[in-house]
Amino acid sequence: MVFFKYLFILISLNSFASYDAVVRVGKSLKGKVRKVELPQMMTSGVFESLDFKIVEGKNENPINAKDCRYDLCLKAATTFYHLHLAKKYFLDVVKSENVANLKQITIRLDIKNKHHKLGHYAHDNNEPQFNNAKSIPPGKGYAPKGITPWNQEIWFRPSKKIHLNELAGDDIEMAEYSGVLKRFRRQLHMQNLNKFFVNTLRVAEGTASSNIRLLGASLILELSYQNIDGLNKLFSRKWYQLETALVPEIIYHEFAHIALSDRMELTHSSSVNEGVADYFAGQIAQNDELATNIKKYNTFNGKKAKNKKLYRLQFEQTGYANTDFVFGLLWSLESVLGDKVTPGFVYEMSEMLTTQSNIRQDLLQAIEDTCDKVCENGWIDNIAIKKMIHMKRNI
Amino acid sequence: MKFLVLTLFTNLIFASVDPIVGNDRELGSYFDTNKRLELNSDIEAKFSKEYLITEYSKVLSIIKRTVRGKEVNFQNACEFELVNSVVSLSETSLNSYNEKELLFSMRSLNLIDDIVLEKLINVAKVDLTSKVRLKTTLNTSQKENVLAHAREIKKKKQKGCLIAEWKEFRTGIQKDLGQKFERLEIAAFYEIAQAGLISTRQFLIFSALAKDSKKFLGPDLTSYLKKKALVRKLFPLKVEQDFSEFITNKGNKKQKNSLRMGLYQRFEYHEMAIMSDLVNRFRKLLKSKRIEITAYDQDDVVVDKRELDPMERFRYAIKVWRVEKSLLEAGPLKGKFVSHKELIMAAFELGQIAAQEVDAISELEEIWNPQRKWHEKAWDWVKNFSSLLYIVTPPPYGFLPALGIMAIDSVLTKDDAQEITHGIF
Repeated sequence: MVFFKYLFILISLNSFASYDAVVRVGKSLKGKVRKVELPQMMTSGVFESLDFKIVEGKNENPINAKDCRYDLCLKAATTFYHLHLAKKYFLDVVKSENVANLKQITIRLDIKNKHHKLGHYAHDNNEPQFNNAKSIPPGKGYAPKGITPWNQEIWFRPSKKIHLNELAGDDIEMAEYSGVLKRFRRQLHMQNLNKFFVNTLRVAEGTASSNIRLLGASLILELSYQNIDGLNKLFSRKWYQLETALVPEIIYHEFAHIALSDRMELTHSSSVNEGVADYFAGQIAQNDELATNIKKYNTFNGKKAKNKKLYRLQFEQTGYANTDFVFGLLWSLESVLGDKVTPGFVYEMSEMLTTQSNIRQDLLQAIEDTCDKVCENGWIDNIAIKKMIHMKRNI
Repeated sequence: MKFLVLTLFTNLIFASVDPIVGNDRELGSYFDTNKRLELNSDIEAKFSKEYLITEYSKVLSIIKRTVRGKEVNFQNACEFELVNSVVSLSETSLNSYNEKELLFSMRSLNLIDDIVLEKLINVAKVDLTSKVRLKTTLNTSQKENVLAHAREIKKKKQKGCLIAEWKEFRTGIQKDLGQKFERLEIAAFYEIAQAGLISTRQFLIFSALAKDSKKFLGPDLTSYLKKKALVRKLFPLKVEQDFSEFITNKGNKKQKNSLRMGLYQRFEYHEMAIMSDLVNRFRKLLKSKRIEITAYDQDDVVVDKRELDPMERFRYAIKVWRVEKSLLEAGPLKGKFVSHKELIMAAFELGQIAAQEVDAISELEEIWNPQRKWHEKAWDWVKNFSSLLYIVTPPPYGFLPALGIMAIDSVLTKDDAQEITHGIF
């Protein structure tokens, strides 16, 4: 009997079923659907392991590959596969005690409800949520209403095509382009004025027509400048859609929030806690770009660590929590400290931070204090870090 | 076992290195070239290091600091005598290598530093075999004056090094010959030799030194060793063997010596001490954990108090540093310009900062003095001349030069920090 039991385990270990999942392939790390094996499954075909349980919406039963739609199965397999990779990274590379002590985490796919601190889910009639993912802090539940306590969860919303006009907020990149355009406008107007004076001083044949053309050029430029917003809308992308459960780096990012939740609580988003989670997502993906090269499931630009944004005070506001400034800043520490030092360094540093931490004071102080503790050359490395931050980030 | 041998050998080298004559700061030599490094390896392969150290130490032993318990203050550190001893080595125990090659080998074993090496190499290059041609002669009164001075010097002069003697004669006769001195210097030494006040060898050497006077007019070996000994006595090194590559680099493109060589040439020991102290204060500021700015009203009541954030502290330290540097130049250094690198060099020479700190502090200069690559300088010229294009480009194509300038601007200002509007500093 015992022999058959072991034989069954042996057979089941060696004959994992494979599932379609989105993974990064090739040198360009393009997101493609490929067959993956999921050896962590406790029961073949059921997306549940000791660490994660993948469910649909508010359901508590794990998704079963035998009776689920292809798109749901694809999301379940993708999240299941990448979450285990993320957990392995935090255990093997970062050696996180918090992650080692984590209980099974429920992953909810296609859930549209908002989170509610007391009731777990906000009412179905509340504004439905799309195109994002969220890490949910554990809750005590509310016994009188039959709401049982819940552990940490990750929620992946369904994707939905949304017209960009419906999205509010300033576009920082657009502001930079506007700055360039402004300088161009000033330069051209000054130059035309210059030429106008030169023409007027040396009155010759054709001066009048030359001046008329100058005036025309200035007028066209001014008209374009005044209508830049309209022109921009005409030529730029109009629709936005993001299938968070099918983008590996978003899955890593959300797990990073859970892994770091012993220090940065999951109450709200800030530039610092999002940036640190982005950093670890990039480290797990071994890529300095997050959510790029995957247009089928994502029409947003992604985040790029090498995108050298200069610091702006607005980055301290919750509305700008998802810019890639902190991601890039932490990523660039590698240029000073070396790639072998940085993941451990950033993890150690995150212990000094909370979700309320700001960039200018708290994050930079945490970098300095961590370097004093961890860096090989203490204050010398700190000087190099500060020089880099001053010259490249303008904080 | 290998480690034991290596340790014993390292100890042997350090034991043989005189702390003043030998090298205790320079990592690599300013004079290193691939060819020289190969040659040094050849010499060390042919003779053992231990043997070389023993032989070279015999040569250097003529530089005595005390004679029968009495301090002689390096008076016997004579360049020509030392080079002669090296020539003897090259003719006997270390034949097949010339004296210059052996001097570079001495440097590679840290038995001498770059400054000593430079002085000895300059002497080794002096050619005493070529004929001295007298282009002009002294008139009677010039001759009388020169000889009178020479006799006076000869009377006072105790036995010293040849370069010091040449300088002394030179200063004396310079007054007699006035503006014609440059032309008549060799003729003057000829007359002094004819009068038997200097030997023929001395005449040949003085003539050779006169031909290449720029090389020998600076501080001689004795004065350098005296200065270094004083610096080491007043500011004992915390780490005795701490080597830095930074100090063997050129100070700037126009300079023909290393930062360390320049430091000893340009500054006195007390100036080095003030410079070093400034670096030490800057270092403390950079390391500071908290900086507060407090404003008081007329009744001494605090009206504003703010703590600087980490980057403000960093920029504050740099601003203070630059102000203090200017004050140092205007005050204690009496108008003498001092570069950021020279200040760090002084602090390292006096052991105030460690070798591993040198590069980090020196690289901060990039913040206020960013190094521009050649293409950036080229773009500057293009930009300056492109205003001419405004005139010649007919409308409506005038936007093309404007676009070009915008592109150049964006290339040039890509990495430069912008004005900080979100912080006090």
